[in-house]
Amino acid sequence: MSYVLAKSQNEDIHKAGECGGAVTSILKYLLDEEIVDGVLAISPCDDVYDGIPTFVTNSEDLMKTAGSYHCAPTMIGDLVQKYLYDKKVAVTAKPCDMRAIEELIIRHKINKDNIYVIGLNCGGTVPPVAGRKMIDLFYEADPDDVVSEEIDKGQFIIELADGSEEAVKIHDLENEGYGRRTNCQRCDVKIPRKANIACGNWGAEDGWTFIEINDEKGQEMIDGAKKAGILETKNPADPAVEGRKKVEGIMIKMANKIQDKMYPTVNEMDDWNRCISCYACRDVCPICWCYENCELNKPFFKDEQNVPPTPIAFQGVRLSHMSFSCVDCGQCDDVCPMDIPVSLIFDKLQKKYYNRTGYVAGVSDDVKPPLYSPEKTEL
Amino acid sequence: MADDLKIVGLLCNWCCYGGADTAGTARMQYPSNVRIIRVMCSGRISPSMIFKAFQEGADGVFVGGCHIGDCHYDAGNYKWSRRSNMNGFQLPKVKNSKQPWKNSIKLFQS
Amino acid sequence: MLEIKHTLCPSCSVGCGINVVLNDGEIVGTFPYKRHPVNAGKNCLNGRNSIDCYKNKFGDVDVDGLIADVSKELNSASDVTVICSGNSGVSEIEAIKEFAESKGYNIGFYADNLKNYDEVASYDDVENAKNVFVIGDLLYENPLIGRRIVHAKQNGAKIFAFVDAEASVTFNIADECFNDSVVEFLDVAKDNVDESSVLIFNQIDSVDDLDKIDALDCKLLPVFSKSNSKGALSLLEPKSKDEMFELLDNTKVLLVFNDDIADELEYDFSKISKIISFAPCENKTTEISDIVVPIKTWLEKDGSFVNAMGETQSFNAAIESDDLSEIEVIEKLNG
Repeated sequence: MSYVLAKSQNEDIHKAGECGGAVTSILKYLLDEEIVDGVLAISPCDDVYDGIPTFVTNSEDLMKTAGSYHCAPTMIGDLVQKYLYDKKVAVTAKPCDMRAIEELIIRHKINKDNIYVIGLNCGGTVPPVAGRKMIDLFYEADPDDVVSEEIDKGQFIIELADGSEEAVKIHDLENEGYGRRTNCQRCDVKIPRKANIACGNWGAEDGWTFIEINDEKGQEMIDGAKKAGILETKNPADPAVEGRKKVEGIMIKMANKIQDKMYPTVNEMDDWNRCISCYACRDVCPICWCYENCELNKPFFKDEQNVPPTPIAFQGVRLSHMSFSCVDCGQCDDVCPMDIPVSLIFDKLQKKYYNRTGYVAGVSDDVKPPLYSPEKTEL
Repeated sequence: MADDLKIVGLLCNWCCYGGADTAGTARMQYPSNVRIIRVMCSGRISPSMIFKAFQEGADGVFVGGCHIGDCHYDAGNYKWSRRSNMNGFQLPKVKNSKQPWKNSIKLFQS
Repeated sequence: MLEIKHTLCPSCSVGCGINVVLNDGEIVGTFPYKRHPVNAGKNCLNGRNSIDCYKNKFGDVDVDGLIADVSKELNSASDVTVICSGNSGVSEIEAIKEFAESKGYNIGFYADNLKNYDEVASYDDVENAKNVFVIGDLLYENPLIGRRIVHAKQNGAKIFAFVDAEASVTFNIADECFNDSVVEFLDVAKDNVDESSVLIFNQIDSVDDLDKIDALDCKLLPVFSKSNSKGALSLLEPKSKDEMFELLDNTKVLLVFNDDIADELEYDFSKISKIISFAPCENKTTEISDIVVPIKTWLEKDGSFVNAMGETQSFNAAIESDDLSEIEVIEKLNG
């Protein structure tokens, strides 16, 4: 593991990208040198609130993916394993994306040799629809005028078309039920250390990206991009490394506090009561990869005639299958038509499991979750 | 034990099921509200089977496996002991409040 | 090549957004559309399965030959009825209406036995209501409106529900549950309404219930089973179940545009001598049809739907296709 500060040598990318455009430059290098077939990154579709995963095969199209989007709570692990399994791809990944990718690599659903992961440090994402409402309520601005947004120093900052900026403390927003998604609020993995490199602005000087190189593949990427003349790097000073560590520490501490507050609030039975067994949570879950072979599709678990459905089998089986591998990406919350806090329930169990075994899904180095190891030990 | 409780017993072929069988031939009584299902090893039981039992209206599930260290298949009972731990976490999350049943998942060792 | 495109869900009149995933030019799956104001990325099972209609499309057929057969059939026919449906977009319904009127055909349009209201409650009204009256298992059948009812409940509203069943998901969250008759339920509603109340319904027992609903002094939100029923209602007069039966009794040739009327109405369709169906994929009506002309699914054409609260939402084709849309079919029929 080593640290490096980087910025783009390409003027256009430098201007369009965030923090010197290092990420876009590395992606451009990977595409131009044909190291990968394509890049899966987020780009805005209709407006800044509408970030959707875009597969780019031409480095000229990369420009539209430049910049960071906080209103794009997407999951790409699922897309890679479903549709890009046999391609060499580079992806940009938030910590939860990376955790999902890692869990899928363990399950042989993603080929580790085929995927280049550029990790992005993440302080959280904001749901687009609620985010617009929040800007309408807490900022003196029209949500449509916002050209970019940023989370920095505990504030959610929006930049308007006329160049002015407005900031509100995230803490205040979250007290009112807005702000980041609830799973992001309690997320304690802020830097994707399983990715080849982890990029971010924490600790970096203006116009530079702070990169943590996690493995050899990551080192090759940086060296290659430098050699291709698209990336400029320098070594960070010690205070920068310390500063980054401090930011991460504060964020994790805050997350732990929120966890303690949030876990006791959920009342599972009350929430399952609304379940309509639409299987949206299962279908969107990056860890649930069995699809038509899912045990819940077996005739003995189908209760179609049963309205209302009994959640004991559906949720119970899902809990027993993957709750210990829950990466807390919050996709299940996002897609649940009944607003059941699914990820909170699953994450709570993951934490319990962690306390018992020390296994953190998508972060721990153990190849198999202890639940499935052949070791002759009891919990 | 109350007579109206329905208990599903998942018993390992090599010890607990053998024990129940021997008890039967020796005319020893055991509660009639235990419905016994023979499995080849407690390690063969998946958590889904427990949930299925509860979905079908069981009030409790009893799992009988070998002594730790005595598994006929080397380590099956260790596997179930770890799984049962997880099951213990999960069950209170899905039990139907309108249909009270005892959270009686425990690893009984014969 | 992987692509993700926006479209609308065609499963009911709630008007949710949904993204479709295209891989190498084929639609392979759905993806949550989290930016959409109606559903924020949440879709029910029907919504996520809606692309099955594209996947199960009719194979290649000689469309020109089929259209010629239809024209021949229509030339010699009398008592022709055109079935128009909320599955078609706004401009298509206009075209079908014009076609039917110019030829002097009857138009049959059935909107779940319900009728049009010029003023309807918005989804936000539901969330902010003090009392919510629900007819039908909305939570199960139209979950994205059900979600607004859940929000209303979380905001402290009282939920009254009528569902024609012993148990239902809507009952699980309702404060007061009724399952005898809509009439009785509406009487209870009458005693409890105030101006912030909303009555949401996706079914009624009989047409007489509509008069009772009209008499209630509260906001109404009828929810239909088809994506553009509300848009069609502003163009066409809906027929009640009995009126539909009467119309079908007097029909010799039935032209069904993108609808599954045989599934909706329990009628002996063998009494009609010719049934001609325009549909993208197989359904109960195409099974009993004499001629079936394949048309585009909503994924292959541009158009617009009007959702239950009267908002017009347009969508673009997610994928290209050689099939004909309803409008192109009519152009060909007109020669």
